[in-house]
Amino acid sequence: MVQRSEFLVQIADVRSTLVRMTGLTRDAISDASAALLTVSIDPVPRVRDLRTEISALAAAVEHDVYVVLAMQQPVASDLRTVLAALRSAANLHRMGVLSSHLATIAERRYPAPAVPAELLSVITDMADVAERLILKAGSVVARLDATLAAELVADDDAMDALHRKLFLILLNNWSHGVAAAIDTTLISRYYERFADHAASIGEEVRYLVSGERPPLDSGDDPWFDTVS
Amino acid sequence: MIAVPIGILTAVYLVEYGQGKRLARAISFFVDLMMGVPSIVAGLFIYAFWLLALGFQFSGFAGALALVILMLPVVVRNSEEMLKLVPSELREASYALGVPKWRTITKVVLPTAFSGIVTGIVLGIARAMGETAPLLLLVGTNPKINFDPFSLSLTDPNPNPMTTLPTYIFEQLTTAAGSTTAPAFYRAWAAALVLTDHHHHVVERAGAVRRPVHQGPRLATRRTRIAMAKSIDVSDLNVYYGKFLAVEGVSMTVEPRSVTAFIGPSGCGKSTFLRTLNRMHEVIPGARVEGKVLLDGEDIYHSSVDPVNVRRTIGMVFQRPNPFPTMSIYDNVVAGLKLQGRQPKKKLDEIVEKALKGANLWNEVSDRLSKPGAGLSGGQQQRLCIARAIAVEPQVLLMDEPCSALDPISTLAIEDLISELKERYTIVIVTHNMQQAARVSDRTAFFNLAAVGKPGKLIEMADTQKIFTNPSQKGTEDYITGRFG
Ligand SMILES: Nc1ncnc2c1ncn2[C@@H]1O[C@H](COP(=O)(O)OP(=O)(O)O)[C@@H](O)[C@H]1O
Ligand SMILES: [Mg+2]
Repeated sequence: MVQRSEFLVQIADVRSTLVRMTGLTRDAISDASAALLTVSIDPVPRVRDLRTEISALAAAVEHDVYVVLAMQQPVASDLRTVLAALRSAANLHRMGVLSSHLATIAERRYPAPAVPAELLSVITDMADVAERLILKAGSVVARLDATLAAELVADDDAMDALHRKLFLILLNNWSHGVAAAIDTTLISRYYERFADHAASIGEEVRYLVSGERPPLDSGDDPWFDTVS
Repeated sequence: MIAVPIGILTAVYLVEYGQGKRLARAISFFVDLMMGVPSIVAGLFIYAFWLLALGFQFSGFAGALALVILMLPVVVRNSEEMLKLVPSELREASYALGVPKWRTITKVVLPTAFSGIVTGIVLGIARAMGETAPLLLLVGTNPKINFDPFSLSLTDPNPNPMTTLPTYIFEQLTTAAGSTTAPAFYRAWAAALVLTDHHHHVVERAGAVRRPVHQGPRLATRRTRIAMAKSIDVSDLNVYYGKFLAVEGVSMTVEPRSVTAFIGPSGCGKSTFLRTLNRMHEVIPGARVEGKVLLDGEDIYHSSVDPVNVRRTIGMVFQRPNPFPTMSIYDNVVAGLKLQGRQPKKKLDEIVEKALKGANLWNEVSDRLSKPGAGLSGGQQQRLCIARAIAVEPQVLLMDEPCSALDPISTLAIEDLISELKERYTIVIVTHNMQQAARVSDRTAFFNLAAVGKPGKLIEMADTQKIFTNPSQKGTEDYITGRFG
């Protein structure tokens, strides 16, 4: 078969970089969660290193995509592939940054716990969901599986539910002071954003496979969506 | 029979060597003059010259001479036209394989023009046959001559080999006068048929030559030389067509085992410059270069260097696929080796297979190697030309718009092949398609010219990625972004 081997090699390279990034991001979020939940600062420098590495890889993907666009003039599914890769890399980059934010909160409160005991179970659930999502994102990128991608988009709802649950706790008889309220809000917010970026990767892959974008809105509460 | 070799040689001289030379013009004028000579004048001329001036007898030879005079211009003119019709691409393809000029003419040009030339000869014969005036004058009085200059084939069932066919027809018709049933009448028709048949026979022979000649395995010299990619260093090169400076002041380095693309607007001298890299430029009369071209440090324009050797080392693939039309696929691939005159000792089969595999064509043609190369699709023909070029194991491969005559799929196949070939060869490709340059090349050179009639110049040469993402010259940026002209 006639094929543009050079282009295909470049695309395969980009994809394997993305898969690698999902692995690093998973390490980053799990270390950050450990720092928060076990009240430890040991994992913090690791999270920072991972974040740096993820950012560097995202920049590399961006550069590769830039070169592929300039040199290979991809069209149709090839074009969607490079665009999806570009956007997925940006999402993973953000997820790395969010992981490091979580680690920073743990570090700032240390040796005190950043998460009040009463919220430990919600945050633990959030950490679990986050890790599950990034794992799935890895498979989605590696296999370009549309069904799995759709699942990933839907799984994000679990995180949104936890986020809302935490807000309810915060708004009703909160007894840990303002600083803790801010920390917890931010932690919850970072996990929620993390999950949202994972869902975006699912959307990118779904778009890549089907060529269609879901209608704009995606049902998120604008209040939660103001900053990422 | 005398007229044929003289006629063809004259035509070869006129077409291949004579461009613009005085002798050629004189011959050409004389041929034109002879073309217009009425047969009776030819007869009278020989009568006067041969019989009266030199005092010979009426004879068949005198008649033959007169007919030679009649045939010669037809054969010359026709052969000349036929030779001119042989596309210059075929000559170039042969030169580019490192084949000397004379072998190119005998092995490529003449076979290609063969059927046309034969037609010319037949026309010449027809002219001679049709003209009985000189015969009547010179031979007519002596129909039973001992010398028959007209019999081309020994198998002709000519009942009287000592009479010319027209004379014979005439004789028999006279005998049969008035009666269509007379046996003599049939004999006249039979003779006329022989004439037609004769013609047919010759044309058939012409066709036979076009059929594949090769069948079994053949032997070739063991090639110990391994293809080694080489670098090219050009310094301050000016390229001329006569007085016209087409390309000015080009200096560049072409890295070994890489693909270098030349891009730029039409007429900026990409092809011209490319052809200086294997001394194909000088094939054009009046064309010359100033400056240096070093192949791994060796000056290819040094007076001691034979351009034929340069072209063996630096192969070329042309814009239009130009397989040799008279040769089979197999023979096309080994054409360079055979035309270069190498003595085959080892099996050429191996070389053919290797070259065709190298050109990604083996799978498509391995079962029809003896079929004509011209029967392949355009893309396949181009890959055949690439196979032909790499069969002589060059160190550099020059390609002048190798895909511009191809459809997108064939183009892709060639582009793919280029990226494979660069592992072993230094490749320089001219392309008017900058996306192609972007896709296949490692380095890109952008040429431009200030105005039509001004010399083309190298504007910028850099890594292809740099050229297509952040060129340093505004001219390059304008050209590749389409803000041109
Ligand atoms: N055989 C030739 N004789 C005279 N001038 C020529 C010949 N071939 C090309 N040229 C001229 O040389 C210049 C460069 O032509 P060419 O190298 O074919 O450009 P490109 O390949 O970039 O389109 C043009 O002005 C063209 O007219
Ligand atoms: Mg050209």
